[in-house]
Amino acid sequence: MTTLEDVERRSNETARGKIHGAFLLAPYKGLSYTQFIELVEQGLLYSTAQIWANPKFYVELNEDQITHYICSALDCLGFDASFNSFQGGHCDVTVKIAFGYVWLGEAKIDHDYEWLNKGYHQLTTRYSTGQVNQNNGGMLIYCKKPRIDTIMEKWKIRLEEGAPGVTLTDWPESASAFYSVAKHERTGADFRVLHLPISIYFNPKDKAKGDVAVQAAQ
Amino acid sequence: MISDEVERALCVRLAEAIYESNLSRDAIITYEMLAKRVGESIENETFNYCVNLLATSPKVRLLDMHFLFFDPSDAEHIGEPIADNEVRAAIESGYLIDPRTGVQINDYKRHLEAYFTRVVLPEEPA
Repeated sequence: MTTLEDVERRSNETARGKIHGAFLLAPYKGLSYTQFIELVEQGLLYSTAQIWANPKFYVELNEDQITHYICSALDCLGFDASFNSFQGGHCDVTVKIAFGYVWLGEAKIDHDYEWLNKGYHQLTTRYSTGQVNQNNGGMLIYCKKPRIDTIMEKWKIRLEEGAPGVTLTDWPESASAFYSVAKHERTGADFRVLHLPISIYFNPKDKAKGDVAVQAAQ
Repeated sequence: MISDEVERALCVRLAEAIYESNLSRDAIITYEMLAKRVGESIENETFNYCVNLLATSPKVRLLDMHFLFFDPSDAEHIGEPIADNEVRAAIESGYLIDPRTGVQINDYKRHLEAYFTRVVLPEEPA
């Protein structure tokens, strides 16, 4: 027979098992908003690993296509993820669960920093409420260019210039990712944003047969 | 929604096992029963992933999880459903009070068997 002990053991064997296990046992163990956000962030790591591993399959997709893939991948982890649902505007990613918890995501290809800045302000001033249990979100930054480290360092500088008082801290679970925390304009509560770069740069120097040589976006 | 072909096919087989086998609405469905019906090992990660997806995903949810209690002092005990709030209380306190005897059971996680009931589909007659 499969006991509660077995369910917990099997859940802890894989990354996706941990997420399912948390949802499966949430009616018994409870789930705080902080735990929910950790699950969303781990879910994003898991969901975007496939993109990191095979950028050539994604580099020619547009923002919406990549974001739709990520939403589907989050659904498969037990989240209720919606693509382009209406939330003060058409928010790229809305993740909810029955507890009333909400995480919002805005996706942008790294065309330029104005484009990213627009996305950040859409997320923080149009889509989000800043309410309790709704005060976390994310910027999914699809990087077609090389060196996400320099892209993100410059983005940090632009962010600090455009949002006085914002505090930044690195998120060590993914290369060059970081959090920003700033006062939400509507509520004055801290609103935390995970800035998660996802590299879809693909330009192998060996030019293997069948590869599509893709240059960095101009 | 499920992009992996193997996982998608297994979810379909599980759905068929749940809904096309004349199970009553309150029938007890165990991991073992489902594994047997779809011909998978109970320890298979893909099997567990698919069952748990059907028990957690708001978009494809077909199963609700509950627990059966087995009395550790009674080898003949066939197990009986235990209320969800008693399981919650056990997890919170770290021990389970045997609903029949009042005895405190510290290793309760070994004496609670996970089972499912199937979700009633909107198109099913009342």
